[in-house]
Amino acid sequence: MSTQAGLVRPRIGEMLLSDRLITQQQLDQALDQQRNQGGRIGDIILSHGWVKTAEFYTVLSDHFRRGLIGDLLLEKGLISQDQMAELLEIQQQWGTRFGDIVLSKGWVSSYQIGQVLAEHFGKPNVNLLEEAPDRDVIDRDNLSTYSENLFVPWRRENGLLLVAVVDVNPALLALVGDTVGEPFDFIITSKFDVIWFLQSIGDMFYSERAVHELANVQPEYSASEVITPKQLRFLFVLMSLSMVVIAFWPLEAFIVLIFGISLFLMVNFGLRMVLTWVGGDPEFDNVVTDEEVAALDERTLPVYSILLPMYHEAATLPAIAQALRSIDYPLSKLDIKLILEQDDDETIDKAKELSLEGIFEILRVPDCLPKTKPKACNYALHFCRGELATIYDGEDAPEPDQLKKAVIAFRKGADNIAVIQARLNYFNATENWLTRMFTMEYSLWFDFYLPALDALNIPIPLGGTSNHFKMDVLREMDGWDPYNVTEDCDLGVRLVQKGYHVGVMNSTTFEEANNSIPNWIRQRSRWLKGYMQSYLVHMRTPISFYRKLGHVGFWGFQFFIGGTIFSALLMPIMALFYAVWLLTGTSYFDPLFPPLVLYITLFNLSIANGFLIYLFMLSGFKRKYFNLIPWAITVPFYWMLQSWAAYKGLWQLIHNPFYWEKTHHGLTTFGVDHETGGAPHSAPVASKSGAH
Amino acid sequence: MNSANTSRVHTQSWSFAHHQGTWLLIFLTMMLVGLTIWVLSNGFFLESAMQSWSIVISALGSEDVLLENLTMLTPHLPLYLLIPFYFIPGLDTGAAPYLVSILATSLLLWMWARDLKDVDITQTRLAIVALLIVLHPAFLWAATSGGHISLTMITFYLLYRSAQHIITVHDIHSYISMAVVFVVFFFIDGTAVYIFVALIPLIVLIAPIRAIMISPMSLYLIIGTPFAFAVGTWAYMNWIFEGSFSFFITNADSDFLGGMLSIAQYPWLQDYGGEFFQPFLVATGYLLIAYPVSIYLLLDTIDDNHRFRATFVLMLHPLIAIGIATSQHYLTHPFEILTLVSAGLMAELTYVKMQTRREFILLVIFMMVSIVGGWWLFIETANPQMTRWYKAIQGENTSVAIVEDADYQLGKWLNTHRMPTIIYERTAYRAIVARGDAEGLLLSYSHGFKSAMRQRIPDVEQIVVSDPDTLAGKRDRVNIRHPHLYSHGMSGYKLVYDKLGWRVYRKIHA
Repeated sequence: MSTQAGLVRPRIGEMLLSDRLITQQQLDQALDQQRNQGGRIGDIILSHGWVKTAEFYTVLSDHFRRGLIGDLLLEKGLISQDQMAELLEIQQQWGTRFGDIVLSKGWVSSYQIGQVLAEHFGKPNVNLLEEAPDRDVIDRDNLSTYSENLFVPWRRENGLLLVAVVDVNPALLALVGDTVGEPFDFIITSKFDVIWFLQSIGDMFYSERAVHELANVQPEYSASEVITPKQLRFLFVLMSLSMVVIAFWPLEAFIVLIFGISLFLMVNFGLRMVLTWVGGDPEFDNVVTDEEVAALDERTLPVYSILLPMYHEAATLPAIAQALRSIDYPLSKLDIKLILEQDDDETIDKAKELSLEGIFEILRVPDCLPKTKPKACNYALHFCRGELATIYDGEDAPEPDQLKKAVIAFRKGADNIAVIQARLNYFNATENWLTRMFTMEYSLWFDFYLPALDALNIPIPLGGTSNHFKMDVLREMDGWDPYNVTEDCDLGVRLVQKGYHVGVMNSTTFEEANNSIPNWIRQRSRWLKGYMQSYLVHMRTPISFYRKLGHVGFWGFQFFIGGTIFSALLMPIMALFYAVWLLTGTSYFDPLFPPLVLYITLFNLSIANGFLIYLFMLSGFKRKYFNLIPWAITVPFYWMLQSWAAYKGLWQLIHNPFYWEKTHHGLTTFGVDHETGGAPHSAPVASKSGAH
Repeated sequence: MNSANTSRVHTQSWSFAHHQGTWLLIFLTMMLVGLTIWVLSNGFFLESAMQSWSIVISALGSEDVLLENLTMLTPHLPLYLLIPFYFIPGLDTGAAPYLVSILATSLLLWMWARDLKDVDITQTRLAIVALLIVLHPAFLWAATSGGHISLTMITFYLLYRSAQHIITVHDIHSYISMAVVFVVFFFIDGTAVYIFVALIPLIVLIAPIRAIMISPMSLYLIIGTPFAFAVGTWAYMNWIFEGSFSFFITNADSDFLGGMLSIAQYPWLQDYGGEFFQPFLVATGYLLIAYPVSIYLLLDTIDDNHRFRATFVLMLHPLIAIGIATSQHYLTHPFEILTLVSAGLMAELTYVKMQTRREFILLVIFMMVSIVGGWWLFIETANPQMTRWYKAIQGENTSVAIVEDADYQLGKWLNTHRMPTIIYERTAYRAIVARGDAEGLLLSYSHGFKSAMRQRIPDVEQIVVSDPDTLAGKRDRVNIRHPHLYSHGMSGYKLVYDKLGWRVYRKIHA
């Protein structure tokens, strides 16, 4: 009930008394104090801590509030009548608050909303950059809570702590009360004030947490130690024994070695065949149906955080911003973080220049090592407010309904499902030979392998983007490992060990396929190095790992993650043997290939490789990229590139394990339709600059 | 509560039906076992079964057990299936191919019964239909003759099921299935090449129109690439082990040549070899006589576009394959491919409506007519082996008198005179089977044989040589290397065996 002229407004003390939040004695004491020392009765009552702030404002909300937010915006001329009508309609549909919708539409700035809110609640609106909070009232251990919930203790006035908040609701006030642990009252500020201020004072804190949290809390999962002393000792013993065996029984030793390699490659092939068959089940194309998406009540959708780590990607920023605006999800429930490196002035300037809507928040990650994407994401986690979260890359074009599908998939899935991986594919598939290969490989990986891993309960190495997390689980896992250059793969395996399930869904994000071989080698060497890191991390205690994953999970990990690494490393060796034999016709190798070994290698060479080529064809066929299919024949050359990248990755693992080999984006001459979630083009549609 | 009860009742009913199906399967298998024992006891044997068994025991009995000893001249998968039986005591007389044939037939029946669950018919009707399938001469011949036709029928059944799936649901599994089935097919039977080629023009009837319009090439690549890899792999293995990529299609002994080099022995090739349309038309007539039920299915499905296409392909595909295989002088008898229609029919029945009394009776009538027509055609067109088979079924003793069986006599003699012996296994395969194993024999792929063939006077204990005036004798490598050995003997060797076209020379020790 708002105050109206002619009506006598009930007194605050009486209202609190009638709701039995204070006693008559306390009211008398407060009135005495007001008489003697001045001040407002509400502040006095709050400062004594007789009543919690949340309860105080719940009872007195109508007492303080002036008008409706929409009316105030209209009254101030910040929105038009038409916009007002549209907002009301959207509010019905989305079920979110007026202020959030206005911000998401970009019609009013965050600062202006702060002013209106302040007026609405009858509180001061503070610009934290001009009137900075008193650092003495800030508890640095609570910085994460401040940033995740957008409030910050401001100053103490008249014995009462004032807390700057961006929004006012009972849950937030209760949380603030629990956090500050003393009586407080609130004032209004804008969310960017809170974010910028917290970043300015908390850079060290957030960076420290982003870099060291996992290593401190769960060191057994941190790749900061590339190889443990125990692993080194094992390697030493293994190599020593191998040397001894080779010295005494050289022929037998090499036969066993070649037999082992051949057998490994054969099983690796077998696993991939099984995965293709299982993953080809049509049920995986209907994890979430269009009908389910259409039937979704948008009012029930949770707030969704979208992490957008970028580095020197100013050129792609407008496109991804447009892609996110086009997403079929209530914009007011989006919490988009542009995670930019502090030294990346170019992208920061571009982001400012774009004057993005209030749902976009720019986070500047301080310049410290390791300079990796997971570190940047960990940093941003402290500022995320979503119940769910996902990551996109700068050049991504997710299908518009992807977030909704993720919500449905979570609702349909088991309780222990922690993350859902969307499919990745490329919009510039037909640009050149490399993009064709890459597209088929990704189609095979995401359309066949990952669904099968899901079905078989084998740990899923998450893709770099479009993985949708439950935020609470992500925080429980201490985020990503900043030392692991394929932090996504590592996180997928960690989640399974913690008893969580990693799922997949039938929504695709289109990315830019690498169209340059040097750039591709950089990217792939990082991926394979990261796989090696992940393999080493999780194989530190293989028995415990086996127990946690079970038979299928453990061996699936060995052959899927391990198989990817080892097959890339071993392929050139076997190919070299073969090439020398083929070109020279030497019989020198004959003793190394007794019948059984010969048959297995022949099987691998012809049937297995033949079918692996065929799997590439299938991937194109399933995606209806028919024109890619004939190109699959050339995939052995792609495997060679993979081996090159694997050796480069291995070299880096030894010499520069945490170095994040940056992949340059924006090299393609192809464009993507962000409105529809970029389907691939068969020809260039636009020229994009931005090659780095 | 109610739904739980319903569910339990359903489960029990299915379980009951399931057990009934199992009993039916056991009954049919036992019936086939009994029939096989009956025909074998009446002296029937299949040359190719004996040859396969001979290859297996030769390879496993040689000094080095090597894959290449199975030779590159015959598809390997049936041989692999025979290998485990080599180690089972009591099967050394050559019964293993017949056992494998029956097991494969049982597997086919089991798969069929499983797939029939989608068709809601009673167990009695299932039993009747199953019996009518089994009693068709093509099926019985495949199941009890000991050849690998039963394996071929399994692959054709799966192939046809894949085709049906592509027509109806066209999911990725159906394409993979079809491609993999073709690969397996190639390693079972040389006719796979013709079956594959015959399907190429029919893919337009199977695949979704949209896919055909957009990219027909992709369809062919998806279905055909693994098959091409299989053929390529085989050629490559020929190069590795025999020194020539085309060894398996140039060697006179190769099964992949079919009847190409022995046209004179096969009336079918004499009449129609090298032509396509004439054998196609004749085979169409054969199909109408032996499988009039396919006409019924065609008419029955005329209102259902998907099923009609499947039935039409079932009818046309084997006929085209017969035409092509005959044009290439491969096919020695139309039943080699026509038999597969039984498997296709089984697959088709998993989709047929036969719930109403009228539908079922019509189907049964046409199947019964098919059996009658099939038997008539089988008897009328039978080659000598088929003739011996149906005579054996009738109880006639078809065996050659032991004393007149040259190979058997040689085999038994070699069994009692065990010492290192040079023998060309492709000529003497029946003798090797009669001997029971190949231990101590120096076969053409062995180091001892090759070494002996390089010498003017071989240094081995015994040499077996066949009459060079016979067709088989002309191909005997011992004769090719020592053309006068049979007639004149060899210095340092004495004749120790001379019976019915076989001679054995033994080294004279000083």
